[in-house]
Amino acid sequence: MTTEPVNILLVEDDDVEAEAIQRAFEKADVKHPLYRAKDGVEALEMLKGENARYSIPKPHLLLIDINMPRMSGIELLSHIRSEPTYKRTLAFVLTTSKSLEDRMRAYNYNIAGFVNKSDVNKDYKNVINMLENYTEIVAFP
Amino acid sequence: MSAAPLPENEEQRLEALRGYNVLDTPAEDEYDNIVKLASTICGTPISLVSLVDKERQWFKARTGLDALETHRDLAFCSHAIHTPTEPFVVEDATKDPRFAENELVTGPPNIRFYAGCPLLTPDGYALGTLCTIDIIPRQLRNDQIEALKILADNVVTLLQLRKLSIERKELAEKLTESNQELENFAHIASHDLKSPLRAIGTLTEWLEEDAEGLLTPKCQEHIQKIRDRTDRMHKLLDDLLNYSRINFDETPAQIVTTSALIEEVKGLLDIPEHITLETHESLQSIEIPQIPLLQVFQNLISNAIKHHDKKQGKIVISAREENGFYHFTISDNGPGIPERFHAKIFEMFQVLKPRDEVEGSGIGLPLVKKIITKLGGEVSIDSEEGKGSTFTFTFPKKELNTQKSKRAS
Repeated sequence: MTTEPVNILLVEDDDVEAEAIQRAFEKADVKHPLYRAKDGVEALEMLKGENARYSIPKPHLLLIDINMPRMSGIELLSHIRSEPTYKRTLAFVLTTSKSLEDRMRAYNYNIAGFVNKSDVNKDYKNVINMLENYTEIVAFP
Repeated sequence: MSAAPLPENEEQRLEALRGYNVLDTPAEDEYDNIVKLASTICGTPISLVSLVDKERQWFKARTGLDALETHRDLAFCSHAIHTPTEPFVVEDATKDPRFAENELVTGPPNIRFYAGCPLLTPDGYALGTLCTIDIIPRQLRNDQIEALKILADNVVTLLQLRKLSIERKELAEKLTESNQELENFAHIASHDLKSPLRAIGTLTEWLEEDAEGLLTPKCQEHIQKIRDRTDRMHKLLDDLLNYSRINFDETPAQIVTTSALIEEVKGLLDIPEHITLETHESLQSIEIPQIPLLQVFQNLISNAIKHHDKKQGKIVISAREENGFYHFTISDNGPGIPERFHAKIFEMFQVLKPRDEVEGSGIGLPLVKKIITKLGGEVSIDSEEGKGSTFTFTFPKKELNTQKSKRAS
């Protein structure tokens, strides 16, 4: 197993959804630090350490909600993909809807996959396993 | 020469005229025939359907005259509309001080005789006239005047029909628009309602987890009930989303054989062991669009399973093609539905049993009906209490082919 920590940034405006992820991490005893931003703007500030925020060290793994105030998940993806530093940052998109349109739009930004929010509670082991596998990739590129 | 003064209600009259949307439209046989008839009846060379616009008279129909319009100041009709209920007759224009110096009298077409019946709308506006003109002085007999009045009424009827059809078209457009808005609303609302609902479900789950061993059985029962209700509301919202999302333009209509479709439905549904699903041979060859018919079959079959009340259940699906139509039936040996409910079950949110006994959103059958209607078909039920139910739906084969070719292009 990997020992190198991967900093996971959860970008989610809904407190309950965020707590669900936190709980799943605790239950599965995930060692990687979990940070939370409440929207795309905050996420960018936390990645870059702007606006007096703590700059989350690399490597990163992002979990991004789509519908958020100020800057949506799609807009956030579009921002980070346009910058060389974050061009290859691993990103997952949190989905609730089966809306094909949302998924298609997200796919245009080289995302690693989707995490269904309802699985985070019921099927958290699988979700965490999948994320753990990816953290190994990020830790040992 | 003197131009006619403006009628008192001129502004409203012009507005009424514009409401008919007739000015500067092409000639139409219905109006042309009326002016021809007017000339035949009166023995006059020129007849017109003249509409008095702000600064001109414009001819919707004309015989014996090439001009499309003339200036309003020259128009005999501008005088005629001052007596909206009476015909206006000038037997010899050269002897009438109002017209003797009119350039349509002193020059071509050299008007001498004029008789015009105002085109009086039901709300009292004289839009113009049906008029007939000669280049020699004359008189009309009473029966000719009467005929002219009748023809003028016919012109008004035509104009009324035209207005109604325009209004109908506008109404239909508005209706389509507001239906679309309503569907969008249903879509957005059900989508947005889901996220707080999911939070309620999750929080109750945590409550149960974190308070394990501390809750009385009654508390646990109540928590279970909250969760049942949130599950039900999820299902309701999912169905509502599906219902509002039915839009064939967006759905890629992959064509599959019915038997393959049924197999897929079987995979989606949990078919209990005591229920057998029989399919007809003929299903093999029939090709149908996968989405949305997947939803149709899924709803009808899951209904048959859900409501089943016997030890051994049997659901039979058959299909045939006849006279360019597909006919599908789904029969079960379940409890059946009394005839008085046959119309009701296709209505939105209608269920026949308490939701605590049989889970149901009341959207399944309306959804089926909506899909089949969109395919240009019909759905019906044949059932009696205690004798099982047979749902039949038909839709034309042709429309599918169009969709098929649309996709190919």
